[in-house]
Parts: sequence; C-alpha cells; structure tokens
Amino acid sequence: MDVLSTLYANTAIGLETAFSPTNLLYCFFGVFLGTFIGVLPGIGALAAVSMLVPLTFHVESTSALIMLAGIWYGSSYGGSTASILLNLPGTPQAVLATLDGYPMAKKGRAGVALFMTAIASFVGGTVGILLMMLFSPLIVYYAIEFGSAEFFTLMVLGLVAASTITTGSAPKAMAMVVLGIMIGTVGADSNSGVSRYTFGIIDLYDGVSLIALAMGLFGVSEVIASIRSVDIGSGQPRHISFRSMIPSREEVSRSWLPTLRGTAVGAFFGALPGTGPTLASSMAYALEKKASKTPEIFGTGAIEGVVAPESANNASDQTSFIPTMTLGIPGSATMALLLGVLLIHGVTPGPTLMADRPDIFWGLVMSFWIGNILLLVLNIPLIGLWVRLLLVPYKLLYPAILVLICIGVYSVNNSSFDIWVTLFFGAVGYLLRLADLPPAPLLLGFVLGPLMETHFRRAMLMSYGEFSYFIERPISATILAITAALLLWTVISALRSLWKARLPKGEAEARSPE
Amino acid sequence: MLDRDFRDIVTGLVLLLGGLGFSLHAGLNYRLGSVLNMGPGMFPMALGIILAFLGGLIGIQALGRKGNLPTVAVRPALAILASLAVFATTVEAFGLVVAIVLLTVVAALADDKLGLRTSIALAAALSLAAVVIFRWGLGIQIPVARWPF
Repeated sequence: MDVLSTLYANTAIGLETAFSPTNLLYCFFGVFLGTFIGVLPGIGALAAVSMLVPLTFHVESTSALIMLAGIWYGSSYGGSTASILLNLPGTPQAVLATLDGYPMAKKGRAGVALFMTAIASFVGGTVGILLMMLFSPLIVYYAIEFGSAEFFTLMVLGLVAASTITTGSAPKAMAMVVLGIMIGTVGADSNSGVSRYTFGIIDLYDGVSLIALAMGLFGVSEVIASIRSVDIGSGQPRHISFRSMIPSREEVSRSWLPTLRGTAVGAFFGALPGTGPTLASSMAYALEKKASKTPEIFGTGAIEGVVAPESANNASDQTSFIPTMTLGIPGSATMALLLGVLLIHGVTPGPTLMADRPDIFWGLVMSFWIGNILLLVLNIPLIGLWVRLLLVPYKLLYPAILVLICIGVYSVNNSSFDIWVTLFFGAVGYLLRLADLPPAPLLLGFVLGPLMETHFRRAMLMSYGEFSYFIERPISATILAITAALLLWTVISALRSLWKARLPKGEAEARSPE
Repeated sequence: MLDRDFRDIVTGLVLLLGGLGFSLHAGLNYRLGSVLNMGPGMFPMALGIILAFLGGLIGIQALGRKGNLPTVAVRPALAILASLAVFATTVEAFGLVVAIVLLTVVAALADDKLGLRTSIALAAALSLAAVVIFRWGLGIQIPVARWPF
C-alpha cells in the first residue's frame, strides 16, 4: 500500500511537471522532430539528438531532457515509414521493418502496415513506461548504498556488455570503447590539473566537446556515406488514405500476440546495459519466426514480422532509460549522449536523482505518456505529411543538415574551434566506417571514461591500493563475476572462430600442394 | 576478393601502433604514480596497452581469412570536410550568411546532381531560414554579416 501511495504521489509530481505549458511544447517539439528525422533516411536518431543538443542549453534542464528524449523515441516511430514505403530504413533499428513491411506495401497493404506499426509501437512504448515506473524506485532502493567500487564495476560491466553483445566483432567494439575512453582523457586531469594530450592547444584544455564529437562521428560521417547510397525523392508520390489503413479482422487477430511478445523481448533488452533497440528488434523478429506455425510466410509480407520488431524497439527505447536514470550508467550511445547533456546542465543522474529532483525524473516519465499519445496522432492521421517528406531529394537535404551541424556546434561555446573538432571526427567517423569499426561504443566510452577514472581512483584511495577491495564487497564482486564470464565467453568464441577460419585453409593446402 | 582480409589487418595494425604511441606519450610526459595514489599517467598508459592488445587481436584474426577492400567515396568525403572547413574559417570574419553560401556551394561539389544555380538558390533559402530561426527566433549569438577589413 505504501508503495502504491508513493507511486501515486510521484505520478502527481510528474504530471504537474510534464503538463506545464513549456514542457508540453518541448515534448511536442521533440516527438515531432524525432518523427521527422526518423522518416528521413541518411540521418539517424543519434545525429538528430546531438544536432539539437545546443538548442537546449538555453532551456531549463527538465524541458531539455523531455525534448531530447522525445526525439529519441519519436525517431523509432518514424523510422519504419521509409522502411515500409521505400525498403530503406529511416533509422538503423527500423531495418527489420523492411523485411516484411516492404513486401506488404508491394501487395498494396502499405496503409495497414503503417497503421499496425504505429499501434504496435504504442503498445511497446506504453508497457516500457509502466515497467520504468515500477522498477526504477526498486533499483534506486538498492543502488542508494552503492559506493565507488560498485559504480566502477557497473560501468566496466556496461562497457564490456556493450562490446561483447553485438552483432559485429567483439574485439572491434571493445577497441572502440577503449578509444572512446582515451579521447575522454584529453584535457586537464581533474585530480592533478595536468593537461593531458592537449599538445599545447588551449581550446582542448577543457577536453573534447561531446557535441562536436557526436556530430562528427554520427552526423558528418553519415552524410558522407549517404550521398551516393541514399537516393530518396525519386519514388512516385503515394497517397495513403485513411480507409486503406484499416486492417482486416484477420490481420488484427494475427498481430496482437506478436506485439505482446515483441514488447516483452524489447523491454528486457532495453533495460540491459549495452544492448540497444537494434538488437531488441532483431531478437523479436527471430523469436516470432521461430514461434510461428508458418515461418515460410516471413519475408513475404507477414504482418507478424512488422509488429513484433516495431513493438520491441519502442519498448526498449523506454526501458533503456531505467539504468541511465537510476544508476547513471547508460546502456547505449544515445543514452550516453543524454547523460552527457544532463551533466552539462549540472544534473547528475544516479540513485540520488529520484529523491533530489523528483520533478526531473517523474516529469520525464510522465512526458513519455504525453509523447507516445502525440506520436499516435502524428503517425496515424498525419501520416500523409511524412510520406510527402520522402519526396524531398537528399541532394537538397544534406547541405541543410551540414548547416544545422555547423551552427549547432558553433553555438555551444561560440567558437569555430569546435567546428574543426567536428570536421576531425567526421573524418575519423568515415574512416571507422571503412574499417567496419562501430562508432557507438566509442561515444559510450567517451562519456563513461572520466567517470570511471574518478571512481577507480576513489576506490583505490578507500582501500589503500588493495585491488581485493572490489572482490570483498559482495555487490561489486557479483558484477565483476558477470563481467568476467562475459569476457571469457567472448574470448572462447573468438578462439573458436579463429580455429574454424584456419581449418578450411589447412584442408585446402593439404589438397593442392602448389 | 583478396586472399587476406587486408582491411582488418591494417585496422589492427593502426590500433596496435596508436595504442603503443598513446602509452609511450603518457609514460614519457605524465607522472605514473602508484596504485594507491594514481598519477595522471597511469590510466592513459593502461588504456594504450589494452588498445594495442585489441588491435593485435583484430589483426591476427584477419590473417587467416579472405576479405574485400572497402570502396572509398573520395569526392563526397573531401567536399563535405572542405565545406565544414570553409564555414569554420569564414563564420567569425564574414558572418553567417557568407559562411552558409560558401558551405552550400562547396558541399554541392560532392555530387553532380546539384547544379550551381540550384545550390545558390538553396544557399539563399538556408541563409534566410538560419537567420530567422537561430538568430531571431532562438537568439543564438552568431554574427549575421560582417566585414573584417
């Protein structure tokens, strides 16, 4: 009963904050821009969030957070539109929606696919918010006792998980995490005041600007890579009538169970550190195909294959806020960016946030409800608007993106030095793409690196330099054990793939002794 | 198809050397300290070594497999990076409008699709929108037009 009454009181605080006219306006801006960016291929949510961060410096921190969060989950709604209509994912996590969404559109069921994705996204989002409301206070209850040892080991776990649970190569992702932490060491050391890796450049004394780094890595390099590959605006204008969106009774009855399963998968993976919506939606798709009695229809326009991944990525969008807001440990690059923005605003997310600033925490959670309802309106009655947006050719779009990046970066410190930093990381980001190195773990490492160094030093001071300190404390020991298990598993699977790669070569040499 | 995955071999090698260089710089220039009282050099030193190790691992894994070289979009890359450079050098001296026009014209070189006339029209539209939204609407401190001489 006590829990319920607290929740009730918190909900009231949150609603009061979220319904203030300013916050309502910023919530609307956020989800509107999110859908806008999500619909457009060649510019992802991460780039969008970083592009709009500078605009939030003049705004109160709660409103800023509400707007940036809105961009993030709004882009998930919009991302599937281009996937379904053009077979071109608007955001990386919407790639699963192309598999069955585009075949549905070819069959003339584009309207239904768009309608059902919006509904599935809403269900996923709603359940995600409910879970956040219920579990966050519980996590905070335990996490309030955490010391530097626990925070350090949790961050290590987050970074290791982010680099081992990936679709690509684990050593590559891990190398990017380390590179990110390295870039984070640039600037004055907070302990000794010694300036590290600044090479005499005074502008680097405060460290590399988070915004410049993110815009270079995700904005500029994305533009370079998209100019030749993204060819939107060449398609036929398509009119989506309201009538064409109404699903048949059979389509509805086939959809509701996959939607719920997708939601469950997404909510779980969203809350885990290091696993983002892309992984969640691929897992949901795979699960649906396995659970289906007719797996052969997947890929030919099965509605199950559209709703499951879409509900999953929206559920994970919401639950990914749980570790960020309650522990101060972001699970994905976008969350790392939001954490960085909060730090710039002077707000430190962590176990104490909920008690110190309930208006920020609960205001954000309640704004999710408003945002999701607005998104439902934006994506069903107003879908025609977004479809028309896909007619704008990329050649007109990318100069506008570049202008937005330049003004945004400049306005952070009123210095053109940061534009040079953006240029540098744009080049680095493109090289990383060429080398197939994932840029997202780099950003995660960059944000967490300085925090990790501080907590490690503090833990070492408390333990008089004894490493056993981390093992003596039960919670940090458990976290370390999980981390070690993950690492061990990665090393074993890396060795196995190495072994497999050698084997056929050995056989081939044995057969043809040239 | 190449008989070795040269992309990953080079990637691994670059990371290996970069990591070692980073550690070396930390070791030569910053105090390492002890574990109890860590100096500014300790943490970067450790990071460099870990990166070098991972780079080595990536390179070794690539030795035994075939691979392709990525195609480099040289012209888009150079044009986009140059457009940012042009903006950065001109914005404080000449103001936002000149910087946006130059950025757009240089960025248009990334591709043949955008002719000079369209890019100038686009530049005009973008300048107007930027001044209205950012300077007047949001009040961002950025000069609109200036003449340094």
